[in-house]
Amino acid sequence: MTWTIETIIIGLTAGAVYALIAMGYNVVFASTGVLNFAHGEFFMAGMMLGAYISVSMGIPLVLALLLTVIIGVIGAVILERVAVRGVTDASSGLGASGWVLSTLGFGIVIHAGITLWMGPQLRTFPPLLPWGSIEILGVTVTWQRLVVIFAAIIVGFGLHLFIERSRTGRALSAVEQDPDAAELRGIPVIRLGVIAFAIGGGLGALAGFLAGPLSAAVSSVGLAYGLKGFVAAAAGGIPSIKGAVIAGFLLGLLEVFGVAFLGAGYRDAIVFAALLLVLMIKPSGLFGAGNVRAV
Amino acid sequence: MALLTVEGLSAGYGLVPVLEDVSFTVDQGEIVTVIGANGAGKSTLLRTLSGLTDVTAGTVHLDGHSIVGKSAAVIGRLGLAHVPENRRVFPAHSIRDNLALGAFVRKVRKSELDDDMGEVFERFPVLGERSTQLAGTLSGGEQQMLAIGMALMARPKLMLLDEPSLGLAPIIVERVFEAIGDLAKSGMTILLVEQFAAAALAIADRGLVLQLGSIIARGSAQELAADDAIRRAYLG
Amino acid sequence: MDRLTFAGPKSRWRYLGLLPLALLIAGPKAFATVMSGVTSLIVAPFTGTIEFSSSRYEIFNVELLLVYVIVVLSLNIVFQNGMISLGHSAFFLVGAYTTALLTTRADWSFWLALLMGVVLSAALGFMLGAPAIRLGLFTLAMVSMGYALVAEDMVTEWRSITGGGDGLSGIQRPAPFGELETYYWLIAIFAILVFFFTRNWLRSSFGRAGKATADNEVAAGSIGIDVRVTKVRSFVVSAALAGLGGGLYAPLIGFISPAAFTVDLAVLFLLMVLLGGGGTVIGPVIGAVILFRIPLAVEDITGAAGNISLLVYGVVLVISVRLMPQGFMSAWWFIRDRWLAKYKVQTMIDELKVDESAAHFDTLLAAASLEGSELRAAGMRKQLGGVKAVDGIDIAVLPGQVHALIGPNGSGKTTTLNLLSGYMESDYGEFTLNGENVPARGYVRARYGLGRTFQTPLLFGSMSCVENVLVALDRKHSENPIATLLRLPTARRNEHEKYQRALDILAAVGITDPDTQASVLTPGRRRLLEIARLVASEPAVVLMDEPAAGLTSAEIEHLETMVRSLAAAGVGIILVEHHVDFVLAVADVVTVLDFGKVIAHGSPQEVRQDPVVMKAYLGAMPDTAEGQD
Repeated sequence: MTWTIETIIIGLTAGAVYALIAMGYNVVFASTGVLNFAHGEFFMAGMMLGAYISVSMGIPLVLALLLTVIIGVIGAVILERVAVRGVTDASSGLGASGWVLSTLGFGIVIHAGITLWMGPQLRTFPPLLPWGSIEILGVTVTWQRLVVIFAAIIVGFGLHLFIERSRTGRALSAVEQDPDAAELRGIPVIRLGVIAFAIGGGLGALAGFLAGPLSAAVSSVGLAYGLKGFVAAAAGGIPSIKGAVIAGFLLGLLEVFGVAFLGAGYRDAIVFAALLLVLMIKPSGLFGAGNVRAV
Repeated sequence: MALLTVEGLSAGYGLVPVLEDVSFTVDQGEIVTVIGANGAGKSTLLRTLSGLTDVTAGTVHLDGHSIVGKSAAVIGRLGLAHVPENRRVFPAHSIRDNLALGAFVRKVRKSELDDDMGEVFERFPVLGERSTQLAGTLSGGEQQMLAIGMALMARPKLMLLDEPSLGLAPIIVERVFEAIGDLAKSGMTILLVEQFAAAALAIADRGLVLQLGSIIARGSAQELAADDAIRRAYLG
Repeated sequence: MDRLTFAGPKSRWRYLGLLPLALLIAGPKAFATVMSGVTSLIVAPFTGTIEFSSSRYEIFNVELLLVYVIVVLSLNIVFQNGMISLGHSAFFLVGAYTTALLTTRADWSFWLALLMGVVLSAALGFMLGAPAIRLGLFTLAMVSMGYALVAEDMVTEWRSITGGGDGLSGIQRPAPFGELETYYWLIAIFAILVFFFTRNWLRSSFGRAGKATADNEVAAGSIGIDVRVTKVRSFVVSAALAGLGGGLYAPLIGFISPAAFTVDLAVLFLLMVLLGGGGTVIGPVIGAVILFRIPLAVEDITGAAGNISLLVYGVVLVISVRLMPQGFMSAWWFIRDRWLAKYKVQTMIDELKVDESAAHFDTLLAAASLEGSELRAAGMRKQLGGVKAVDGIDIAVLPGQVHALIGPNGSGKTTTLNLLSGYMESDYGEFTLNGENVPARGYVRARYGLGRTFQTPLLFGSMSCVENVLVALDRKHSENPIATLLRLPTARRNEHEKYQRALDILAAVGITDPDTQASVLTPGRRRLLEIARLVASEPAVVLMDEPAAGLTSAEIEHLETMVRSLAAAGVGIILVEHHVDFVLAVADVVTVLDFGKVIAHGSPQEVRQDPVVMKAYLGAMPDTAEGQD
């Protein structure tokens, strides 16, 4: 019993991280039609910079978190300017796949840059919260894990409300539905694209910062987490925020139970098999609308 | 003074010139219609005025402001609203949200937004009855009303209408043109691009004929409708 | 864009391609000398030395590059078909491990083992490709990246067979290619073969169907292309070639381990394709050479590779995209056309010589000896989101008949067309062509002779006008695939004939610039090209969705004569249209729909006077044209 609950908590924590990454993909894709292939590296950068700022520079955690997210935002705005804007009209599919190349390239730059600067070795992260742990149903759970799980839920709700209710959010989803018509109506499509990238970059860095104390920080994690985050996004149905959160948690649970029953070597196989299964049954994902652009 | 003054306008996509040396004016409160063949540059003209196609030469003044080189958002704020070809409402948004997006360029308080929305609903009661329905579920004629309503929400000085009759049943086309006529009666200035030249000339004050990117004829709507050459080429 | 046909005008620059071929044949030492020399020339400003080397290390590099070229060319087939794979390292891995295991542990001969590697890769390509082709463009990219990751995990996990993380060693090169210098020739021969294979593939009916699928799946289906077969075929062929590359790789290195088949390698393959120009014949090779030499160049400068060369990689990619967003080849063509050849600005001139083309159109149709079919649909019903979009409609068209379908917006016209075309399956109802039941799949019905045009013309935008027509001709004049891939004389003749016929059809509809890319055509010409493609597919029954929308009166007149000619040639036509004058002029029978039901049916004159139709649809409109002055 306690084993099960522990596994569930661990799965939910990993799932929360995937959900946060997935939301980053979705926000960017919805309003720009670009799948940010550098997104996983933003996660990695958030993790490594978080460790550097809080440990090596000794800056208090909350401030370090803020700084890390701001760096993520700035990085994404630079990415948008350097690797996306003006490169191609993303809505025209394969004929204009230049941004696939340039976002991959930008990701490689982040990865190589951080590895060169901080080295390929592990870095330790201080715990996020000083309070230690509490007991739930007879299981000791660190506050750390609970914070990550709640962060994903709160960010998910916030983002959902922002897109559904706010003036900017409505405009973002208008751009998603018909970028050309949005521009004709005087909606500043490019500025909204920058905003979307900023949110995406911030989310990626936030996810990395929160995940830091749970795993060890190392500069090679970008690819794996970037992929898992995408799996959550695709299974949930791009660009649904609700889908990203729910699929993220499900993915985390699937992964820990899969590893528990089949062994760690099958971790990725389980994840991708599950994604294929979901997409076979529902090509647009669990919560995908199906009538919007195919991703 | 004219509301819109276009002088020596040339524009195009990349290396392809589409408009060459186009000059005309639109006065406050009139309907001016642009007719011409496919590829004559009618839609490009509207897109250029809206700031979506690059101007290579010439000037455009809206109510005294130069709008060449300005972004669509700025031009929208200066009082120009564009109703795109094929209506192009946002299908996954409700009618209400679509109308709110129409007012995006203005940045106004919610109460003012609601007042304006009320006015649109008065003009097009069918929209008011279904204000929470998704725009994608509306019929073509209703979508055209919504597209015009969205433009009204921007409180424009000048409205550009691109092919409002496209793909609509004859009986609906009749209603759409009626609505455009009513709009003009209430003082709106309209630049109308229309394939259905006969119907457009019937409600317009003046007309321009565009061919291969240049204006080849202009005059009052009656003159153009009576002109033999134009009748043959565009009125069928 | 790259030509998708062997026929037609040839560029005088094509002989440039002989240069790399000559270099390849000059042998390992010459090739290595040139490669290392050029690299050292480029980095000379930083290093201060120029060195031409044909050391064993440089020869090894040249051979590894050629192995990569094979994989990159295979990936190009998938890319041209509109799919992005970030998983080709998985097929590369299967080829390498199969060859290595069978030669070291089972004593198979290298050649059999290599063949087995290719077969297994192809099989895996089918297993992974078949479910993946339904995915969207980028989902497929990510899922295939998952394949690469899983493949790497699996060989690590199955330690007892694969040696796990320690890998497999002692892989021998086959006689008579036992030495590094002689092994070069084996790789070079395969690289040349694969190059010509992929070139012929891209320019064959396979390649054209693949490109058409990439451009527009619905339009591809409408001329009878089975999109899924096209995609799976590309994936399997591509996987087999990538496996071949792997099979050649293992003996080159002599030792393999999972670390050599990471996702990064799959990413590198894709980057090579994209940088050079995906879907072009030679672009991927250029991309492979550039990206292969970058780390070596960085090593020359800094004395160390690793993360610095990775950094340079990333920067080069971002900059190259800014300079040449469509890849190296597009940039080269642009320069070639702009500065090296006569550059002519595309103008908007759109003159129609209606009379000439109408006569031509008639002769062409007469010569085509089309056979009309009788289409019958009875009791069609379709519920869409709770609304009865089509509620029991019967419709029939006889050979040579023009049957117009009119009605208010939302009356079910387009749904009816979609049911007839097989894009949607009706909830109830029967559908027969010449008395035969035909399943409700778009491409199947198209193969039975059901042609279609769309409300907004659906063209293959990245292809030229003549290629758009050729794709449709491929369906009816299929060739022996082996002959095509080997470019046998019969295939050349066939290709040339098809090309001439395509030009003829284009001229008949009034398109005189066959090499213009479809996406830059004016709206009027798009319609014409769609009709040309329709004629090329030799239809028995045609469904046209608002063909007159957005056309001027002169263009409508032209359309009218073409529709009449088609009917006169025996083709049955179902026409959805709002343009009442046009409908009254061409239709033999008119059916009026409202709320998914037939509200009137009869001759144009009968329908026009029907009070129910006046009220629901026509209004007073037909009179305004005359009445307003």
